[in-house]
Parts: sequence; structure tokens; C-alpha cells
Amino acid sequence: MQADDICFLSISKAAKLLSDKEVSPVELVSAHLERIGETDGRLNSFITLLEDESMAAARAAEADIVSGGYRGPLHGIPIGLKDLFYTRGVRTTVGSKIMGDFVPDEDATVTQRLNEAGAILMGKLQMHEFALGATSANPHYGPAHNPWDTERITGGSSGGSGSSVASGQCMGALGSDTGGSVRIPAALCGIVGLKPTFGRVGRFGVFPFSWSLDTVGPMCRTVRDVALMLNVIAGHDPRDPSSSRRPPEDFTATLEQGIDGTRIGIPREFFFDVLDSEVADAVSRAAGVLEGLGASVEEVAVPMAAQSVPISQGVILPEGAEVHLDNLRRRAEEFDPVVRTRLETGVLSTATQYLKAQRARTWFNQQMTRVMEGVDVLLTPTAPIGAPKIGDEMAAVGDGREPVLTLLSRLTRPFNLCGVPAVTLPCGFTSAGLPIGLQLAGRPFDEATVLRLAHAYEQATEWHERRPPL
Amino acid sequence: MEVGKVAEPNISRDGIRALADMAGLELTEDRLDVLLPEVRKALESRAQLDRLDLENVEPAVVFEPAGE
Repeated sequence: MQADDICFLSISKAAKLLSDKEVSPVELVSAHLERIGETDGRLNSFITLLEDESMAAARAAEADIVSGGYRGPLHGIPIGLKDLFYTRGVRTTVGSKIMGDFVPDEDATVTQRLNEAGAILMGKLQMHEFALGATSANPHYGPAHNPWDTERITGGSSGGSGSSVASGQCMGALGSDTGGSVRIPAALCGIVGLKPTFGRVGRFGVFPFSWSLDTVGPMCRTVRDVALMLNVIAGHDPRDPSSSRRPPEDFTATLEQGIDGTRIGIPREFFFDVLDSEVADAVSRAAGVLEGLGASVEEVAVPMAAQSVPISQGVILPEGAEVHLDNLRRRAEEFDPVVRTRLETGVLSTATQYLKAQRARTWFNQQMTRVMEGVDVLLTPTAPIGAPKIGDEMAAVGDGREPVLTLLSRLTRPFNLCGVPAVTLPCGFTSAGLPIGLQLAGRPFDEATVLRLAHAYEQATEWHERRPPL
Repeated sequence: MEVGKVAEPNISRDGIRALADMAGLELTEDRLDVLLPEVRKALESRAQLDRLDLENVEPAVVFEPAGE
């Protein structure tokens, strides 16, 4: 097998080869380091590359597996972490200059769980500074570049997670999602990304952006791989006050059960109002594919969706501002100017503004719960457009132009507000060759249904098999 | 559902300066120029939420004394 082919194996296929001892972790990690060496000059996916550490971990995994100590599907698998997950002894910058020398003395809960599962950390990945943006055009570490067109953004804030997985530098990665930061880069880079239910994955050791919205999610090239990573990271985290006590489940268990009779709702209002026509067409075709596989599809009304932007901004900015208040007072010049402005705007919010937004969020959630009583899943585009050019602040959509940040997060934010699981997966390409993402959102803690639908669509199409032209 | 019209909120440079003072932020005149339109946009968002009927709706903030 060619090194490049090894790098584009799915985790589930690589795991079979590893457990059968047909491929060794050392071969796998060596091939990925070679791939990173060939491509990262163009992509800039990594803030910190752990070349020696990953090879040492690969040798240890190889020894474990040879001696009969195979731990499971992530054992020996090369992964990356967005640079806001604490890694003991490894620099964790959160994409900032301010935390450029920060070395945590303990692991995040998810880091620890991935370590215990035997996953091999290749490095810490690019991100928008402090996760406060959707482009990953980072002024301190350089912009992350989209593997499908390196002049374009990856999306963000988990941009390096998107580019590293799409380009075969890692088999899987973790991102965090507050308003779409897993799903936006996954959609723009042509991979699968899941924002689990709020509370499903523990957040101890994850540098916060917005406490009441932050969610950790896996990003991989297949739905099954996302389920495999979720199996490892999900479950109660006693050090995270928002962590759910629901018992862990096997998210791969129902993937093959088919989707006959599953009810899909399509909210045309808001979700299809400001949209590139190629994206609208691809998503409509995807709905047709799912209908052909046995799901029922109906239009649903979501009149509250238009309130998602003011509610989201009203919650995120004050919470983010409180996280960073001390540095805003003492080191404001060291922030990305746009991030600084957003945070200072949050500082200048009043307590009643914040609580109004949190009350409106309750209202929004009540409305969404009623919509979800009639369907199992909502189907929407993930991002309204393909990846914009690096540096563009405005993007063309339909007959107009919109600010990139608000446009990219327009269709993902609503599902953060109600905390439900939402997955994106590739459903086509624009005429410029840029990936288009399909978003499926379900009921709270029903990741299984969302993933089952996504898997059924993926198996019926070939979008996930395409590789970027690097 | 929307309820009765409310006064549109607004804020001046002095108003922003006062809020910044309370928060311990030192803002130059240049920063005030940058922030004034952003804060006004945030107020417009707030006004949009003021028009919702949120009677008997509590904020989505829960405190659990025993951490259960």
C-alpha cells in the first residue's frame, strides 16, 4: 500500500489492519509524518507538531499490540487536537499570542480518554484565536489553508482539525463547537463533523469560549469514524459541572439499521433564505437520496430561527468577555483586533442584556422542541456557501454580499442554542470544486439517529471518497 | 409572538466610556470609534429580543447545589 493510501484509510479500516497486525502503528505514524511534511507548508494545519513524541507513542503502541494488548479501534490511530484541549507537558496556545507559552500540567478529560484508548497525538492544530471566529485566519500563527483550494479558508474555529483530516495528515481530530466551529470547517473541508448534545462530552481542560454553549466534537472522514471517536470521548466528566450523567453507549451499534420510516423535516424558512444556489441544489438532492432510502421528508416551519443570531450573540459575547476580562484590561493590544472588538463589545453588555438572551434561549428551545415532536431529524445546509478566499471579510451569496462570520455560522448556531446533536457530511461540490455540507440535527441525546441517517446517506453516495488535489 | 412597541435603545460615546470605566477597561478615542457601532448593533439585537413575549420564561441558566 502506498503511503498516501495509508493516510486516507478510514479509522475503522486502519483499526482492522492494526488489530490483524497487517499494518503497524509505526508504519501508520511514519506515513502520516511524511504526509504532514509534504503538505503542511501549504496548509499550516499544525501550531505544534509532535514528531518525536508521536513516533515514541507509535513504538509503544506497536509493542502493546504485538504482546496482545490491543485496546480497541483507536489504538495506534494518528489524531490531532485543536489547540485548546489541554495536553500535559505540551504547549496549548488557544491560537493566541497571550497564551503562546502556556504548557498545561494536566490533560483535558478528552485528551486523557483518547490517550487511554491508545490514540496517537500527532500535534496541536490551528484555530481561530480563542475560538472567536469562523475563518481560522490566525494573525499569530498564520492562516489555515483549505486543502481543496489553498487560497481559501478552512472555516473555523477548528480550522486545523478540518484541514488535517481532509488532507490525510490525521485520521481524526477533535474540535469544539460554540456556534458551529466543528461543523463549519468540516463542511468547508469536505469531511464529517459532529456537534454532540451539550453535556454529552466532558469539557474539563477545554479552554472556554462560552460556558453555556461550548461543546466538544469529533471530525473524521467517515460517519463510522466519528461514531468510534465519540464512543471514546462521551460519558460523564465529574470535573465538568455541565456534564451529563447519561451512561455511555455504542454509537456504532445502530449505524447499519437503515432509515426506513425515519421522519425528516426540512425548514425552508430561514435555512434556505440566504444561500448559494449550488448549495441549495445539493442539499435538496441529498434529501431526495434519503427519501429514496426509505425516510419520509416533509417541510416544517421554524419561525423562531430568525432570532438565533441575536440570542446567540447576546449569550456568547458576555460569556467570552468574562473569560478574557483580565487580559482585556492588561494586554488588549495582543489580541487579534477583530477578536478584541467582539470581546470588548461583550464587556460593555449589561447583565439584563445577557439574561434577556438567556430567557430568549429558553423560549427558542421550547419552540424547537415542538418542531422536533413531529420529526426525528431536521435537514439543512451546513454553510450557505463554499469556502471564501482568505482575507475576504464579505462573501457573495445570492444577489447580495454578507459578512463572512455571520454568514458561515448562520445555519449552525440555532442547534447550539438548543443543545441538540448536529452532524455535517459532504453532499456535493460547487462548480469551483469546493465541498458542500449537509447538516442533520436531531433530538437531545439522540446522536444515534443522526449518525444512522448520515451513515445511510454516506453509503449511498461517493462524496466522502474524493480526495483534495494536494 | 410580539408584544407592544418599546423605546429603541441607544448609546453615546460617553455612555460607552461610562460602561468601560465600570468594567475597568481603558478605551482610547480610537477604540471608542471602533466600539460605538458594535455596541449599537448589540443594542439593536437586544431590542429585537425585547419584542418577544417572554412572560414566565426563565433564563437558560441552572444552578445545581449538589452538582447532581
